[in-house]
Amino acid sequence: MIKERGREPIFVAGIDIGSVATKSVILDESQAIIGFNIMPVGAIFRESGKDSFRQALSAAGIREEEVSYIVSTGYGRTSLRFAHHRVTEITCHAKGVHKLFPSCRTVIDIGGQDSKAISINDLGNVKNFAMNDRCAAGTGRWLEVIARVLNLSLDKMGELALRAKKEIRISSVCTVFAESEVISYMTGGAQLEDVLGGVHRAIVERVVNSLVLRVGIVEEVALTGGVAKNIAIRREIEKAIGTKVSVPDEPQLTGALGAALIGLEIIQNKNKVTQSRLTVTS
Amino acid sequence: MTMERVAEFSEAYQKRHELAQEWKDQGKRVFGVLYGKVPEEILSAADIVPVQLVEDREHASYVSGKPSLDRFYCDFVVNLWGQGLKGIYDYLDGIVMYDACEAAKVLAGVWFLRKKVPFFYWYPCSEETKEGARIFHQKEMNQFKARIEEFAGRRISSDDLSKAIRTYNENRSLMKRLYQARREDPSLISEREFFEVFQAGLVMPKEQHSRMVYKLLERIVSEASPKKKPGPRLFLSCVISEECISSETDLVSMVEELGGEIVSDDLLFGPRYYWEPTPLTKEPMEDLLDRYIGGMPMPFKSKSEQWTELLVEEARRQKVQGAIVVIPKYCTLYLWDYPFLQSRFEKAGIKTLVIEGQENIPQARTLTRIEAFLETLAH
Repeated sequence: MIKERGREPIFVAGIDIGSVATKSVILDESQAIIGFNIMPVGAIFRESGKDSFRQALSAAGIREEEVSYIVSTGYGRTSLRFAHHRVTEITCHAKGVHKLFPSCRTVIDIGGQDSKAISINDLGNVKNFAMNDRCAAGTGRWLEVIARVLNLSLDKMGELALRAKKEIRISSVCTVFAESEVISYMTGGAQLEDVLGGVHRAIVERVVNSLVLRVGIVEEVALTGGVAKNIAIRREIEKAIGTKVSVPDEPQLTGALGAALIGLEIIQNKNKVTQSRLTVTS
Repeated sequence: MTMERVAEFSEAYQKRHELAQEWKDQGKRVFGVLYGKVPEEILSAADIVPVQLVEDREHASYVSGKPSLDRFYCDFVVNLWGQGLKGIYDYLDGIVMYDACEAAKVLAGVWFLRKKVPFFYWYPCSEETKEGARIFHQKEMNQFKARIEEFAGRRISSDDLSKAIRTYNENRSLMKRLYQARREDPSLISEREFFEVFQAGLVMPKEQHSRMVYKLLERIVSEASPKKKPGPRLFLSCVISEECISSETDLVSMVEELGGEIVSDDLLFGPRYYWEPTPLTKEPMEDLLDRYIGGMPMPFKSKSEQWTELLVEEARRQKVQGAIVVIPKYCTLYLWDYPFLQSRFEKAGIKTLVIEGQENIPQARTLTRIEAFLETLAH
């Protein structure tokens, strides 16, 4: 019998080039994350993809040559020429969330400039999806604009919004007009926390009504994307959909994780084919 | 994607206005027609060349057309009116517009009021097939023929009409063969190439188009087409074909380059225009009446159940896995029917993706949607 020689360990990478941040994840063949990186995307997607990948390699303590397969995803996925394969962030988020929360059937992803709702099956495959990528309302950009207007740091917004006592409604569907509305409230003497409560509710309304209800809510529900770090957004979503949401420790990484998992599937399938060709019974 | 095989069609379409002028120089009259339910055979029998009014996908036309129309009209009508205002169609000897929808009414109204056209005709419609509707249609068709005869200064004989009907039937038969060849083997000719073929047919005499289609059919059948790994089989539902290949985003090419195979569609100038021949069983005007009454159910005119059931049946027949539905922005008639269509497709196990058709369909976002949709079909 001829057997294949002892083989090298397998590492794969997933690189998610989003509109605001680039994320990279390195996995070993047991699907363990051995290194990751999150960095601002900058103007040149290709460069940020490379940089993020290198930083993740450094964190993993392995060399680029040791990575067997690279899958790119996200808005800038087509710019990464050194990737072996590209998959949309929809499919990757589904895969990543399924790994982290196997019972999850609905994914809500709120990123820097887009938001999505994804319905997944028990294998982590996408059944249906809805995207908002034409308007900043319902995305992290909305929060950034308001943070700038109110001279607040983004990571404080959620905590302050949780302290809202009075319900204020932000009626504008457009971020630009909402900005004006916020200014009017503040100059009219409204409390900062109340206004922030209204801002957070407006984002969630947009996401839930336009996207989540379109794909349907099936428990369990996961919340991903940078905006998932905002505690007030999480609470408002839970109120709006009537159920708790699971949030990964690093909610920005699910896309890159999913991409890496897909890479691992591909390489393991290829190896199965190669193995069956190499093994010969006498 | 190489378009070399259909370069002749593309060129004819791009040069449609110059070609129209050449026919006029040869002594022919050229009429602009809006919508495929106008009985073009009557025009052809009077030695008039009918050409469909088509979107030119030039930004300047949309910009020209918008100010003098209310908001919330589709880009198709805005673009046509913009071309009208710019004088692009001033060479036409006549225009016949069909009562397709509210937007068509508005277009006809402003064109009639603001442009001087030697002959202008508003063709009222009925999609009903009941006896009362048939009488109405018959009178309308006879009146239309009489008006054309008056304009042309000559009578249209039965022989003239029969000849025109045969010419159109031959063209329909060739296009149907092309459609059927595609359905059986999508690698023979891509949907994108097909767009060039049928679009060219809208803007030239049918005899000329038939010669070109015949040559193409011979070529694609004799050439060995490169076999590729079959991709998900798709149905394309799109009323206005120009929305699928807008100035910024060529949806059809995008789908095919991502590996999807569009095997069937319900384009206004696809099967709806080419499928049904005019029967040759009665007097020519009676035969034309039989062809132009009813026909394939339409989103604008037929009952939602009728039209959506037709699409689902066709999708099932073609073993389609997914349907891409391109809805022109502001087209309330199509939007109204979409929930029925989506639910019927879903009951048949066919996933749907809807894309809003407009002048500029955003490229990157649309790419993500289509790519993600094809990925869901892969499981």
